[in-house]
Amino acid sequence: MKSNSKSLGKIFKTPLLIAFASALGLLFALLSDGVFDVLSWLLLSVPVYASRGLLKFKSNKNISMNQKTQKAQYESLN
Amino acid sequence: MLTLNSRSIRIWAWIHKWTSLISTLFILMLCITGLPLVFEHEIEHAMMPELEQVSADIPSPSLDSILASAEANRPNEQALYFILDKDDPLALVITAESTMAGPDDLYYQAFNLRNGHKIDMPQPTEGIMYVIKKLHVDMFAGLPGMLFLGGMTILMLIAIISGVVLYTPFMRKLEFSEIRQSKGQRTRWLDLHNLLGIVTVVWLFVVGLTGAINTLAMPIEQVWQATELIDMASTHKDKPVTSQLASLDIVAENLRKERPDLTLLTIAMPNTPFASPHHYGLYMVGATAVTSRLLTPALADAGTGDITSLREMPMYVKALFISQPLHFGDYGGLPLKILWVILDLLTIVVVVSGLYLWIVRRKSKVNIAQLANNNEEPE
Repeated sequence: MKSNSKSLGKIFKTPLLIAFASALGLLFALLSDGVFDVLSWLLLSVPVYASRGLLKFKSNKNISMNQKTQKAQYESLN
Repeated sequence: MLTLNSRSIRIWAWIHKWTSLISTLFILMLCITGLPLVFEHEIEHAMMPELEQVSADIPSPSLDSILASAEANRPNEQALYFILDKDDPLALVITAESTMAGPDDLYYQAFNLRNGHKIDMPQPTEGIMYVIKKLHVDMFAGLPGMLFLGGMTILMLIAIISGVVLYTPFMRKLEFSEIRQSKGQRTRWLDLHNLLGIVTVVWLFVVGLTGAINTLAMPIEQVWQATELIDMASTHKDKPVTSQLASLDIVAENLRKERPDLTLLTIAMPNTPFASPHHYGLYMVGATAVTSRLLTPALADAGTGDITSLREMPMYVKALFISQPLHFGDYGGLPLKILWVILDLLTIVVVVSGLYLWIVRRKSKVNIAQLANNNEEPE
């Protein structure tokens, strides 16, 4: 394997932690009320937090909106 | 252990593509209808008027009088079920023309347990929430619909497993949660799909698996009725059917004496499918987080009100009951429900992004396997 390729363990390290937190979170609220519910909310927030990259996701085409507007303005002047 | 060579990647990619494609539209429907259903209980309560408060020193009317009220309101019908609410002093009486009536022929009436007044509420079998629930549970197709959705969900579970396997080649050279925004549309949507997919794996697998188990509710109920219930009622098999029914209040009191730790939820009237010709069927729950979701069944002699049989539900029924909170997300308060909704929305993005990736791959003629193989070195 090339040196910049990750091993299986490295690839799955964070996903496994998130999976473990999720499983424990699902289980805790089922086992008991009170503090176990709160622990469950914290644990199940882990996968949600891990997905925050979605908020910065740019789904539009290659050129950003600013560049598009500038380009249109330039063209309308000429 | 499976080696991730070019050939196995191709196989896993094929599995992932086909299990996803076949189930996608149904899974999307389940995710979308699932969103409002997380708050079903809250929505139901919002549609009911405020319960009249009654001071504690005024005694409650008897359960018998409430049953009589309900039957008087529906002259051609008889009571089938008397259901006590877990949280509020509320009783739901279900009536129908025949004891064998199907779900579409049932009539629901709610009563304030503290003063016996009928509560004005819409039939649960009408309205938008009913439509959403029916779509989610069986697409209005009854048992075949439920089993079909169960099948689609199993395909989704296989799609999840194959997706986890395929995560490997795609993440060989990427950091966790890295999304290559500067590259083309396909690449950034692929990175998003992989990120959201891998973080929702456990939640989606549990919700999917428990959903599939819930589609077996009818067969499980039928097996229980044909085996356990008949066994519980067998003491009275050859006796004549009583004409004078025992008081519900006496039955409830006998139950309280027998098992003070349990709370009575449902009374099934004699001759209905969850009782017997000679018995009332009684269904109770415990007080702890787990036992509050497990029903304990009992039978009471229809004529005397004595408890003649009480036992635990068998494992296969308990499995169904435990699958319910894990599927609905209603066992950890409001914050859990909010997390459930967020995870559901993330799942929708996974499904939609997957569909998008499949649609656009046609233009470049590169498929999952080829993309994955480009990353993975030959072993």
